[in-house]
Amino acid sequence: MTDILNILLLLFLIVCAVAVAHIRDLLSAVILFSAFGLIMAIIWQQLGAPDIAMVEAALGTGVAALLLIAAISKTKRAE
Amino acid sequence: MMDDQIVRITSRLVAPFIQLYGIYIILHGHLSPGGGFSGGAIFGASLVLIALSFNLEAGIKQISHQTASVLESGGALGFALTGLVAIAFGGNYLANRSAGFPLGEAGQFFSSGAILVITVFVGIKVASTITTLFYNIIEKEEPLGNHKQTD
Amino acid sequence: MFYILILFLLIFALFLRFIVGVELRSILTIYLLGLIVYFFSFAVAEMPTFGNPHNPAFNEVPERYLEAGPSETGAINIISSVITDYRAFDTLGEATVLFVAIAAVVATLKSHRD
Repeated sequence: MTDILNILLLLFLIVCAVAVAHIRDLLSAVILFSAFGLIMAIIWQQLGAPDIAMVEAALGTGVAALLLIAAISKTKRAE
Repeated sequence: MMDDQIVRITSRLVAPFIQLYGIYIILHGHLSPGGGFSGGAIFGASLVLIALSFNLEAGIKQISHQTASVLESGGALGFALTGLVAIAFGGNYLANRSAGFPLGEAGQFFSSGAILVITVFVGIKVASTITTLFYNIIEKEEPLGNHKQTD
Repeated sequence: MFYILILFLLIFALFLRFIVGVELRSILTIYLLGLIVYFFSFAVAEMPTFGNPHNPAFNEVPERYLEAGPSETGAINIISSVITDYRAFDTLGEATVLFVAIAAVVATLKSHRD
């Protein structure tokens, strides 16, 4: 059961990473990157590293996305 | 920045609990998973949440630029000075038991000597780093000029 | 077997080039990437399984930390005792990196303001 969850998470991770690279809209790319960080946090938890999972959930999902959105709001949204 | 009542009320309700959780993670770094980096990141994220859901002035009221820079430097400096205290006690740089820090009983809150001090300093440093980074990127040119003149 | 594979790849490349109409550049790129994936999959297959106690990462150093960590540092969280006691100098370097990064950001963003 955990294997199925891990495989699904890894598939979502790959899909998110490819989508971040391919999408044209920068705001959508930031949201996809945030989803990438959230899935990565769950994977860290599955790998037995809860403290890294906490850092990833706070930094990779929240603060990094907010900083990128702030940068987008100062510049242009399209690529 | 965002003029939405639902977001404001929700973040006002949630932010103290996030801050409490961050402080808990920092202070229990030697007992449970977490530590300075995790707790500092969570605490800084709560301050960023306040600044994002209200406006920048409300965030700056929580922690001003002056306070943030003092905490920023103080965190790194306190970390380094803890190592120097270990030298003064007769150990190596950043030594813990060999320098004579009181270890206490493993599993209690006041245990593990210098680890608790270092964790608190790292947490302060990371929280103020995240906050300073966000404020510096988000703030516009004019309000800071006015802010400086009123200072 | 090997020659059959090469023959199949050649025929597939010809099929892609002349029937489907893919450019030669793209075909070469796909084949090169396939070769890289083929060799990387060997490296992945050689990797030790997760959580196995006979892994090369689980040598005498983690054993020493797990045994003597709580009595030497007083912290029951072994990760915390490693990053702030045994390897505290490393963590000091990390804090210095954060400090230098934030100093660079503030210097860059506020340089053209006054």
